Amino acid sequence: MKGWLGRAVANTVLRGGQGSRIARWSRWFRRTGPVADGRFQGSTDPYPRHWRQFPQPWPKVSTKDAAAREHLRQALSGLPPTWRAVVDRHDIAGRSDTDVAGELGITHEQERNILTRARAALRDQLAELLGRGGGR
Amino acid sequence: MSAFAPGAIDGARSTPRTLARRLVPLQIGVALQGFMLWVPVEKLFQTQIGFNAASIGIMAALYAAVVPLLEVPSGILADRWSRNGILVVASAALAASSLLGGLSTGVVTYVIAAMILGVYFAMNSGTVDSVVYDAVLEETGTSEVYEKWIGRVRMVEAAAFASSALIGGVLAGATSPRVTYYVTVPFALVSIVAFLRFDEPQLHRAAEPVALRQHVATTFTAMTRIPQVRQVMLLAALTALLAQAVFEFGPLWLVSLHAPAAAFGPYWAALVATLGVGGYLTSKLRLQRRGAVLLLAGLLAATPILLATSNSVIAVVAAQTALQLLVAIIGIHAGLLLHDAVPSTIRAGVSSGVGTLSWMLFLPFSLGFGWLINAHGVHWAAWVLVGVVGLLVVLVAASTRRRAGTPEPTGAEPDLDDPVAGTTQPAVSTDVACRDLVALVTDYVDGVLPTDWRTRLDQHLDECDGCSTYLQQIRTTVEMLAYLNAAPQRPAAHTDVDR
Repeated sequence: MKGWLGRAVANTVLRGGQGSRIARWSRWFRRTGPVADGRFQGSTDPYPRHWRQFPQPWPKVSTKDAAAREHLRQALSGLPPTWRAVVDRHDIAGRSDTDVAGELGITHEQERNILTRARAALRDQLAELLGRGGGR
Repeated sequence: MSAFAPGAIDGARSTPRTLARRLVPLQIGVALQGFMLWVPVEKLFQTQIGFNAASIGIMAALYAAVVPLLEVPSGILADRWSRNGILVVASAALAASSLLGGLSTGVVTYVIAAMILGVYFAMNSGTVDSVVYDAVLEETGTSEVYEKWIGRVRMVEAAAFASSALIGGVLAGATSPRVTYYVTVPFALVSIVAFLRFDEPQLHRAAEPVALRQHVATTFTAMTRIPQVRQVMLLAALTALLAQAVFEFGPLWLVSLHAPAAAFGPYWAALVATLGVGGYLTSKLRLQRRGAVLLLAGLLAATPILLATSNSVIAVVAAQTALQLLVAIIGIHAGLLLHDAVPSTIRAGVSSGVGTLSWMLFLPFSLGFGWLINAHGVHWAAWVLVGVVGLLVVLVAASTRRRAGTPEPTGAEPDLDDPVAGTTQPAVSTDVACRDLVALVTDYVDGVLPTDWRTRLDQHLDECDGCSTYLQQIRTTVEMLAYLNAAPQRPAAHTDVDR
């Protein structure tokens, strides 16, 4: 009945020493960058780390476009609370990185990283609306 | 981007208080789940209710077949439904299995209890890792502190294993092994409360589907076509097999030597402790050196010989603990070799391939090994361990020879591995690829990117229509966000931001 412990050992083993990226072996660990890994070519493809498929261009969209604004609001409310807090303060209220990081109790670097991921996630959501046929 | 600021690594690596607070209920849940009092005396109890080594082997084989089958549906369920929910189901299965195990008076009900424990394991495996990963990402925007926090969670778990082993042994000695099963049930049930209080990350729901088939194909190619990868995979799988064999069959040595129930607690605690100690030692020992690896391999070969010849409980416990410790160290070493041998994008697939391979090897092994112990006794069976360890030693020696003969493969590839995290300074000699651009685009748009990087991104943008489109779309997104503030006719979206 202790097979699970053996498996725990296997996982520990694969997790490796410090710095081993194998830690992310689980099927869920796909997000290493702000844009899903699957959208870029792998190391065995002709152009590793380049787009597998280019993002669909968007039609010209006004910042007053009601549908797009509503979509963006929806997308914003779907972000993790900390991400939403960063976007709200930095991009919507226009406050400085240092201010935002200080208020949220995170470092400047973390605030910038969250901003990168949050903007990428919001772009993806807008792409669903604006890209032709829901293309990304 | 953070990568350029001095002290950027520290900046990305510090833990915000929100994250530490958020992970508390999860750690409590994991500790309560790990508090399994029956584990150290299981083999004792099994022999009391009519198991012999052969039926233990069959049970282990059934288990080895069931868990991998359940892992895939549990993963899908976790993605589609809720990972807290999965952890709750796992705890419920653990409680049910412990109760049924305690009620068992024969082999059949106990095997059913073991299958239910398989549900617990399949549900739990990888789920805790993935929620920690996503919680870290949600609170810090990078995965930098993931290693630290998963390490802490594992430490809590190991402490629970070790202390419950000691207490379980004492409890079984004072009362009976059966009682340890019943006492485990409330701990498992209370862990449900802890998991329900955990604020589950929502990120995975937003994840884009990956091109799964293509990914599997690449992984499979690397696993089967590259001899170096095959060899390292076999090494990793064999270490997992050995570790599993000691956990599953090791206590039978103590049973056959008529060790008292109380001895099982410290014995089990020592075995479990090797997992943590092994990790610590690996970071201290410099396993790149060939001499160190060969010394470890020599020590490793000696331990099963002791198991084959000794009749002393203390010697057997010492030999098994040493074996487990060495296997843990070599296993971690194998993990690092695998890391070097496989490109980063398919490492995840290859490592789970190793997991599957070790289950597949363990299935026939446990049947044969159980039969052998039953028919000829533990001493005879130990010679099989000598054989497996011998094979392991050969593989380790082969891997060091190759490693010594080739220039260090590390360092060249991981440079651009994860520019997002802000830890790995992108190599200046490498051209910017699209994957780097999406990580640097925020700093580019906000005008805080250092000049030399700006120039290189501009060069890339001149040639790449895809990235030009992407940049334009990020700009549009940021402009639209700024305008949300300028027209506050629908302030609802703002007010709930801080929740």
